Amino acid sequence: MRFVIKRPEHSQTEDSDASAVATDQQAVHLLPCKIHTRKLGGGRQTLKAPVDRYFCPYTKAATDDETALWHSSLRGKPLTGVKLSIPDGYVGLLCVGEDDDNHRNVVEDSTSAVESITGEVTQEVMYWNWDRIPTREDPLLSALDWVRVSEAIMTNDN
Amino acid sequence: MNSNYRVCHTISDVKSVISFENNSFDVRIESDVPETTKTEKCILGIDEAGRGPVLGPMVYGTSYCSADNQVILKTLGCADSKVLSEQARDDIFDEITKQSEILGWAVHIISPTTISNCSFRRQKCSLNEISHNAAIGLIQRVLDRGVNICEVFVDTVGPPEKYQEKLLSIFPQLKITVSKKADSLFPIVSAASICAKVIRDAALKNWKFVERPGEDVDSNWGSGYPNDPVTKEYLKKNIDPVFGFPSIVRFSWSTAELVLKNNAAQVDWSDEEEDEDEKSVPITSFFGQNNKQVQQKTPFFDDRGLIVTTKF
Repeated sequence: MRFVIKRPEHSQTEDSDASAVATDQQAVHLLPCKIHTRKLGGGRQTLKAPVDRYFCPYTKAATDDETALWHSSLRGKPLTGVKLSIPDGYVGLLCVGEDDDNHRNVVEDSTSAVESITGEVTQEVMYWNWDRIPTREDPLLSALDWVRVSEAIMTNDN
Repeated sequence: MNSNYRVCHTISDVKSVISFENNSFDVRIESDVPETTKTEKCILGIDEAGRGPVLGPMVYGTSYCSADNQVILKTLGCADSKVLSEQARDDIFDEITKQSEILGWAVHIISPTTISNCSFRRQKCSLNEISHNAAIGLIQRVLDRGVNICEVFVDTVGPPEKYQEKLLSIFPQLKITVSKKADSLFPIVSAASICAKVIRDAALKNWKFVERPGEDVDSNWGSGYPNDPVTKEYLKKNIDPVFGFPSIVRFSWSTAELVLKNNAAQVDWSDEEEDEDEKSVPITSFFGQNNKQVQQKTPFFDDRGLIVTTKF
């Protein structure tokens, strides 16, 4: 699975109709795909992603329900997502990765791929799967187990 | 998302429902049930509009009336919607809505997003399957509203024999005829076809682009058919490099896929199950040390794709 972390563009024009669908415009979206921003002939493109206009998540549950399943569509693919709150005491940092097409299939290389940490902090993340309900088996969701485990260890006097 | 039906009495009702609803979702619209259809033996026809185009919704329509009243269909001039002019279709639909004591109708507007999403599921749902399900849904809806349906005529999608068999297995109590060109053979199917076509045209004309709020929208998309050069040009001109097309476009059409391939950022999906484990990149791997996986203390961390690191 690959992640692309995108910061939503803030809306330039207020559109009252957009509120017809419940969305969270501030969310950072973790997508189950990789969007290549490098042109075929080399050279980096800076692509702006008008998230608020093209990506319209909706849920059938109450929007403040933390277990609610969300739905959306990207390039025609059906996505199912959950909202993740960054646990108390932790911060989410946005990292800008290096998009190196020559090495993109080599797992090891991705460890050196962080170009910079933007310093932007996020409290909430939308975690998306392609047509599959996110479960505790998903890598990111299971990784968050550590938060609870570490707290249990640290608070144990023994 | 919304499987509720909206009741409409005129074409302007239909247009206002269409522009009110979010057109990323399916919309279902119906007439009132004529009282006569609850008691007298009825015939029901089903046809679709907008199957081929790369743009806009596909619309499934049904119309029904008591078998004794079916002469009205010929009086109104119900014939295959494709041989009628747009104006003629609009006029006939207008007449259909005025015959509310005799004629009932319903449509299911299947949004382009639904079509793309079904086609791009992990387990693909074909367009034929979408069509069959829409037809089944419409028949069920009309039955549920208490209409005394005896005979059903359906314009076929795919091989008629198999389709007919499928419908009969679901509605064994009905006499069902599935055939090619049913829209020109049976006036009740012609009426359904006119409802579907008129409402598809209205849906396209009243399309609200959430992607272009407050802008004058380029609606010069030609016929909408993939081989139309105007349509192709429209697709090329209306691309966002990240998201691709506005949601009026059916992403699953090969024409649309090709235009995207050449004019938008490449998107790779983690679609092959087998590859997933191999290629899986734990998020924490971004913080690794010297590109090496560090020996873990317990399997707990390995299982969760976590590594210990101090270096960014």
